Amino acid sequence: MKSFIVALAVLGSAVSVQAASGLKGNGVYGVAGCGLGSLVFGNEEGAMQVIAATLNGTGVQTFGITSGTSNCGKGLFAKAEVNSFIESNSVALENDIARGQGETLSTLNNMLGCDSKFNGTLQQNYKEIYAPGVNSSEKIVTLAQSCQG
Amino acid sequence: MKMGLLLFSLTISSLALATGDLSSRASTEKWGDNIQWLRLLQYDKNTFGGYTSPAENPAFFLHPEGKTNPALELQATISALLDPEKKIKSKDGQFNESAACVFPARKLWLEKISGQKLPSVPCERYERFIEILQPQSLTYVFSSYYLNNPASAFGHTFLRINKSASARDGERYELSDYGVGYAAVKVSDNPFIYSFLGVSGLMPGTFDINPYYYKVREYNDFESRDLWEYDLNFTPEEVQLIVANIWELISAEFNYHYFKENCSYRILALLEAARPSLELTKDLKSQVMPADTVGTLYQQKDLVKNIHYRPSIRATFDTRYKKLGPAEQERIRQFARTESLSQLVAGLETQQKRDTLDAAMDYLDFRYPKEILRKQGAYLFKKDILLARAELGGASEPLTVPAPWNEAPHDAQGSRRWGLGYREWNSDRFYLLDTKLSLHDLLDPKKGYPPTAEITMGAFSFSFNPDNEEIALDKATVYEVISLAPVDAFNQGFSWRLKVSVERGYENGCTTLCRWTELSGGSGITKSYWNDLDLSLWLRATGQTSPDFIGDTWKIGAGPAVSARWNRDWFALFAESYYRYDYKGFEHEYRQNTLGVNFSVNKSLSLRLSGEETNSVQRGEARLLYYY
Repeated sequence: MKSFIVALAVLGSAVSVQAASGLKGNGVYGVAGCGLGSLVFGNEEGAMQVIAATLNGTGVQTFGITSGTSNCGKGLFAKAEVNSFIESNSVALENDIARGQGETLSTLNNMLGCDSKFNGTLQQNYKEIYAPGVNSSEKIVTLAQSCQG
Repeated sequence: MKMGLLLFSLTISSLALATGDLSSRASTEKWGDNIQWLRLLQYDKNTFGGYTSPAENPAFFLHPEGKTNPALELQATISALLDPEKKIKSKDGQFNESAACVFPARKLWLEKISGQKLPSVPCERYERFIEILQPQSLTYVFSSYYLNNPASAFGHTFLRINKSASARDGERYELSDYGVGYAAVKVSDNPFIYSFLGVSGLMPGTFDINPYYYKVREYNDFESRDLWEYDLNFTPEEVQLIVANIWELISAEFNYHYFKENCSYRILALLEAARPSLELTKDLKSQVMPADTVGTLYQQKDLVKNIHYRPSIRATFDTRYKKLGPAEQERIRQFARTESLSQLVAGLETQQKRDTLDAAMDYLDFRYPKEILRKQGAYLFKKDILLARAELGGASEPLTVPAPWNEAPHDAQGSRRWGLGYREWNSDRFYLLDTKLSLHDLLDPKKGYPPTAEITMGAFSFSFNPDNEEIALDKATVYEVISLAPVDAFNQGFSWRLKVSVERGYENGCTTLCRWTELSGGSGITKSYWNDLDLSLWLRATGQTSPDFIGDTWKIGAGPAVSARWNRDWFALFAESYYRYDYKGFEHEYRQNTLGVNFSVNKSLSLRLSGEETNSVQRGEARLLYYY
């Protein structure tokens, strides 16, 4: 019987299930702005679930929230959404900025209304953007004001 | 005023007429039995007639008996859609909306089948949902096997809702698309509770929707898994209906069943609902393997338009590394050993410096995903590389990682199989019948599966001895994983194996054939040559228990093993030699040599020969295997 229980446990944990994210917003970056949350570690790292994405809870709530009760406004890419894109993609984006090119960076450019010239601007300002204590997304958004002008 | 009143009563009466008209048409024309209606609400046929929808949330049904009565649910839906004043409260009580806003797919379908426009109602949330998604087309995404997380060992599938091209520059930005998945809501971290709930279907499951970049960051970057993207050929109307149906189902709740009604099953059910001619779930096996569902879609006529590959961070690194010259490759190998930046690029030309720093970044990303995401440890060190790269300036050349088509899931052989064979064992003869529920072993052709791993769950082998006419269960493998993780300059990880089984044999100090329960595992180092030869050195431990053992009912021991595996195209070989010393048990020394070869005739047929010698008990067998 004992061996059966062990077997069952192994069996159960091995099948194809993707643990959905919980409702917690206790991520490394905290819950970002209004909309899309942040990459969040579950309470327990390891076998069951290493990483979970949360959107202030679930997708439904996101859409509930963005439809009026938050500060996000109506714009499709309100500032807060740009911020959460930058935070959620921070590793890949930082790589792209250092390399002056990449998919994550061009997606951001599209959101900000910038063209590929902005890649060079960000690369030149890499040190400032990612200096300790600097809010990187704020810095990027400020630099992006040059694109509109 | 009078005019207004007249108009008002006219509207009311025409509405009443419409209600009567629609609901009587629905019952005379039997719309309640319409396959699309049944599929939109995910109704399943009961064994003894009638239907039941697996949706658990009462708010998903407008009629009290809606869960089991599609016709009554349809009538209730018709009257709710015709009465925009009737509000439906959401599950969390936060929203109070007209039926048209809660059930837009039902409305679309009803308009289509009746040829009649239903009252249009402003739906702020649903319109916002559509505005954010901008749904244009759909892609079915397979996230490859991830042995390091048992919950993902069989892969995972989800749907991507593709936006239209950017109005700015006409480009598509896939990271801005949305992914829709069906997943179990994790209710416990305790693996025992978790497993029990999962297997018994007591765990709630829900649809979730996240930006695609979450999926890319999680699977490609953090877990280093490849993504295979299958663009589906749905018309704009079908896409609209699927997205509307997703909206309805997001607030419904289901019971998650690991084996059947799992992530892949529910997504296929969604696609079927949009196109009644599709039959995707009917022929699915009693367990649904995500990879099999990719094959199911691929086999549909004209359904898959294109296949794209999105590389894992490891594959990205490998490509960058291969593009370097020999001197820079040596720098990277040295960097992986010393993790010192000072020698990495000193003295190189600018372009070589760029390429080398780019490769070093990816190396750290796949080697230390957790530290880098958390901005600790290796991240602080990686900072120096990023800064050096940024200061060099200049854009890196866009990288194209070649797709490893041999690992693409759509063309793999079936994950289940039957076997028929003959065995001679310790001078006894047996006829064999065996069956395996999943997934893939080291001797099966590699195509479409993890090339260096075996995952077996639920394999049973029965034998018939013609001399004494005995039928017996010879072996039941509950679970066996062998992960050969080849060591190279950039991966120092261990290979590992784990097995839980019930087996029968002459060895182990049994006077005749006896049966025992086994739990065994091991850790080892594997080195690969020419991509197809894997040589491993193991430390293995085995625990066995049986009331049939002589003396002690337990045997526990450990010892070294060496194994060699060759697997290319249609031919595979696996040989292993294992020495075990038991500190508990009848005999203390135990030697086992095994050899297996597999000839793959085609995708569904293999011939397998194997031999084993265990403490002078010999066994030889030949089997014909059928995969489906």
